[in-house]
This record gives sequence, structure tokens and C-alpha cells, in this order.
Amino acid sequence: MRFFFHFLAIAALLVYAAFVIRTAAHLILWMKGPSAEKPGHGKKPLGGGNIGAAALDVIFLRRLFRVNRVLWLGEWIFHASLLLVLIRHLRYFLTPVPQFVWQMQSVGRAAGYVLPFSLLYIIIVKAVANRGRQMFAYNYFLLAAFFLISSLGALLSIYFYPNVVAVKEFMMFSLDPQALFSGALPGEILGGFQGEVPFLAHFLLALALLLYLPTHIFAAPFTIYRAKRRQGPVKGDIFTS
Amino acid sequence: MSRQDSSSFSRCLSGGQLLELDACTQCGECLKYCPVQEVTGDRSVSPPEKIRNFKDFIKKTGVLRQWLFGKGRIDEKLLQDFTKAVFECTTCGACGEACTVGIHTQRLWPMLRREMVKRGLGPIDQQKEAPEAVSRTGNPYDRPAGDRFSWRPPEVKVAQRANLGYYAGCTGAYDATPMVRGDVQALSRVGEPFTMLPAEEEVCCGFPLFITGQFELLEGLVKKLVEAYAKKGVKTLICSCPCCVNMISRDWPSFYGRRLPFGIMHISQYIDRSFAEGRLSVNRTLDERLIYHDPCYLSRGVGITEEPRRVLERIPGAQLLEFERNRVNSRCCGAGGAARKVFRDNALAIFRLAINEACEKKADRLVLGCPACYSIAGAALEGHDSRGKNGGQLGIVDVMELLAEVF
Repeated sequence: MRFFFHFLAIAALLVYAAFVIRTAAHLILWMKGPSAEKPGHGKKPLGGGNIGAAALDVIFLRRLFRVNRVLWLGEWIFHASLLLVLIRHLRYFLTPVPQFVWQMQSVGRAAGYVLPFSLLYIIIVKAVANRGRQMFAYNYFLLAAFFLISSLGALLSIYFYPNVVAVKEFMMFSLDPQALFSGALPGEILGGFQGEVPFLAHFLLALALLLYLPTHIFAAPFTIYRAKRRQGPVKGDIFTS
Repeated sequence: MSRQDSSSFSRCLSGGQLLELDACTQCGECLKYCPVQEVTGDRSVSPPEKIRNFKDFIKKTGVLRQWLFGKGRIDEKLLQDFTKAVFECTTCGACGEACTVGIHTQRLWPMLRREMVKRGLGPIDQQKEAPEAVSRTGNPYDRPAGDRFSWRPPEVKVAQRANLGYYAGCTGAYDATPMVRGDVQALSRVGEPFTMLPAEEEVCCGFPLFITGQFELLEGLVKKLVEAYAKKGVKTLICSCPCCVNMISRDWPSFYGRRLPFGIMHISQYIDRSFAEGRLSVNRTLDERLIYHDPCYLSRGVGITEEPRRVLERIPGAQLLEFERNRVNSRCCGAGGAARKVFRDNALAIFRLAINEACEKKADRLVLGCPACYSIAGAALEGHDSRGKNGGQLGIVDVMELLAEVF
């Protein structure tokens, strides 16, 4: 058992590292610009209104609202709930836990119950209402993974009650390479984790998802902002270079 | 097995475009707006599929991956299918307008095409002939340069030098002559002197080459045109072709290497302004129901949607109808993206969707604002068997052509 948890903690660290490397690789790609190949874009002047409007587009998923209001309802609830749940989960990764994370616990817990239902709604809308025409395999995979993880998370909260002290110890251990490779697994983890299969399933699925986390989480706010800048009404009637 | 080019698929894309590829959520909302998908039902042409495939190509040719695992090989069939899909697109940009994360697809697709051209996989069929034709005759249709302005009415006076310049564009000059004839008649009517380049000097703006990813001639064409207009003292260049306007305003500065010495205006902007300033008036009435089709590169391309409508509303008696999808959400006519010759059936089927709706709305005339749309309209109407059932013959006319009728 000691070996299993140690291996799991190392695997978790490797997944975090892979996630960081993958994100950094994408960042490097995004920052490059082959100027010789890049045509002009007729940029428009950027006002404060554009930034504010783009922020509203991101926060309220307004572009989706314009094209599919039925889906928007589920997607907005899903994204908002996910954000609240992630904030609630920060308590397992931060020491000391910031005040705002404590304040968000009950809201985050409620969001955790809403999350699987919002996903179910999205799956139904996509698969039934649109007869699956717009569904891509990657989309199915993500929705199914999020649904499983969030459902297990909700069950952990209302039925299985994992030992949260052991969970926190484990998370902190997995984030500490020095402790991780010294071979000393804290006793609380081993004692607290006996028979915690639902938690382990929740955690392993979350790790797997982290490897396949959609890049739009980071990229979309920027493209939405760029679109706002590009698609605004033409000011004046003469285009100049 | 042929040797594959192992350079990265990301080389033709800007950082912003790579960001766009990563931003795609594969949500599929754009599928409802893709005209090619609509008429072919072929999912491989769909925007998310193209983005997913191209991202895979980038991954397989990434520096880190090649360093760690050696050169990745991409299935040749997949590359060929992708090339067909990316060149079958009309580049109308409707997918980008509907995109939930705002991907500028109207700009992204030509860059993906550019990459396929660099790899020797594109363009397709007749699209390949454009550079040679442009080099030879100055236009992608390989028609004699001397015939370029054969449509110009003799009564239209063209100044040697003027602040105002008019660029007809190749499609208008050779394939949609009533449209450009209407342009110069409207300009004449305003009365402000305007100049044009000699027929042999007014060459292609570069759009057909740009849109098919064949960039080699662009710098030379752009410099030649910019310098020729500058010599004629042009301060504002007017053009009616949305693709040319898009190319001139967005891309000429890049290929010219600096700020252009003149501004660019779409003809509807100039005519709308002339009406507002009292320099232009309409004498005749027109008791007709008109339905205006927003050209993709005018509406989604440069954001001009209201000026053509205001011009049409100036015609006494004319009733202006709207398509269900109008302005920046307008439906493609099917003729764009240099796909209308290679994928002619698609283009005709797409245009007929617009004709169907115009007939359902009992329009007398479908008003166009793009020579590419105009050039395929006749053929689309010819094979259209439902127009009789839907209330008579539907006419096709350009905004300026119609205006010239009622002066």
C-alpha cells in the first residue's frame, strides 16, 4: 500500500509537470509570429470598451448565447459551477488556505452538485436535440470525463466522506518533490486512505483529464478579445492603411 | 513511399492563428453555418475537422516531438483529404462569425492553404493556373489585358490624374461587366473627376493568389499597383469588388511594406456619402421588391453592411426585403474562395439556396454586391427548377447596376 500511494504521488507530480510543459509549449507557439509569412490584419484602434465587452463575452459566453441559447444555458452553468468547484478545491493545494477560498466553500459545494446535472443537460442537448450532428469524439470524451469526475465528486461530498485531512496531506506531498523522492510517506495518508476507492477513482480521472485538458481554457479569452477588436462596427467610411 | 517535408506545419501561421487553433472547442456550432457542409453533407470539410487535423499535423511535426521521438509521418491520404477539404471551402467566414470563441476563419483558411501549397499539395486543378495567367495577362482568367475595359461606356469621362481613383478588379472587368459599368456610371453621375489606370496597367489585386495560398507574385503586383495609383495622384481608391477591397485594405500594406499613400473606399460608401451630401439623386421610381445579399468579404470581411442598403433605400418605390440570414450572418453565395470553378456543383447548389429564399420571399430581383456572386448567378438561375413555382422570374442585378437604371 505504501508503494502504491508513493507511486500515485509521483505519477501525480509527473502529470502536473506534463501539464505545465504542455502549457508552456503552447505559450511559446502562441508568442511566435513568422513576420515574413504573416499578412496584415487591418487592426482597428482598441478602446477600453472593447476590453470590457470582450470580458463580458468571456464571462457570460455571449458568443454562444448568440448562436445557441438552449446550449448556452447548460454551458454557462457548467463553466460557472466548474470555476466555483475548482476554487473550492484550492484548499487541498494551498497552505495556508486563503480567506476567499474558505468563504467560497459552501458556494463551491453547492456548485459541485449542480455540475453533473449541467453536463447531463449539455450531453442531452448535443446528442438528442441536435441528433449528434455537431458532436465530435473529443467533445464526447471531455463531457463524459467531466461528468464522471463531477458525479464522483458529488458522491464523495454527500455519501463517501473521504478523510479530507489525508487528502490534503497527499496533495501537499505530491506537490513537494523533495519529500516525494526522500521516500517518507506521511502516516496520515496511509492511515486515512484505507478503502478510499471512490476518492482514488475521482483523483485518477482528474489526473487523466489534466493531460487532455482542452487548450481553449487558456486560448479562448484571447481569441474572443481579438474577435471583439476585429468585428466591431466600422468607424468612419474610409479604410486607411 | 515519397519523402515528406518535415518542417513544422505551424510556419505559415502567426502566433495569433496558432492561438486560434488551440481555442477551438470542437463544439460544432459552426457546422450549421458552413455552406459547403450544407450542400455536401461532408463532415471532412467542416471547420472543427479541419482545425483538428491541422493541429495533429502541427503536433507530428513539432520541434520537441521530433527531437524526442524522431520525425513523425503523416498519412498521405489524410494529407490529400485535408488539402481537398481546405481548398473546397469558400472562405466565406460564416463559421468564424458563428464561432463561440471568435476564430477568424476567413483569414485562417488561406493560411492553411498556404501551408499546403508550400508542401506541394495544393492548390487544386484550375487554381494552379492563376499565377501564370496573372503573370501573362494581369488577370487570373487569362483574358487579354487590352479587353479589360471594353465594357466602359464611351460617355464616361476618366481623368488622367485625380484624387479619386477607381479600380475595377478582374472579375468585374471580365465576368461581371454590368456591375462595373454601373460603378463608373454612378461615379460619373456624382461628377467628381476620377481616374483609372490604363487597361494593361490595372492588374490583379492579388486576392485570387492570396486566397489560394500562392504568395509569390503578390509583392510585385501590389507595388506595381500602388505606385501606379500614386503617380496618378490618387488619394482615395474606390472599388466595388468586396474581395479586392478586403485585399487592398487588409493586406496591401503588408506586401507593399509600408502605409499606402491612399485610402480605400467601397463604392457603396462613396455613393451613400454622395447621396447624403446632395451630390446625387434618383429620378425614376422602381416598383419592385428587392432582396439584398450581403457579400461575405464586404460584410464579414470589412464590416460594410448598411451603406448598400441605404443606397437601395434611396430608390423611390423600391421595397427592400431581407434574407433570414443577413448582414454579418449572411449566407455565402458559393462562388468565393477560388472554389467556384473547381467545385462548381457546390457553388451552384449554394447559390440556389439564396435563390430559393429570394423566391419564397417573393422578391422581384436579387441584388448582389460582388462580382464573384454575379459571375455564377446566371448559371445558378438556369438550372433552378423551382423559380416558376415560387412566383415568377427572379432577376439578378448589382447595386450600382440597378442605381444606373434609375438615374
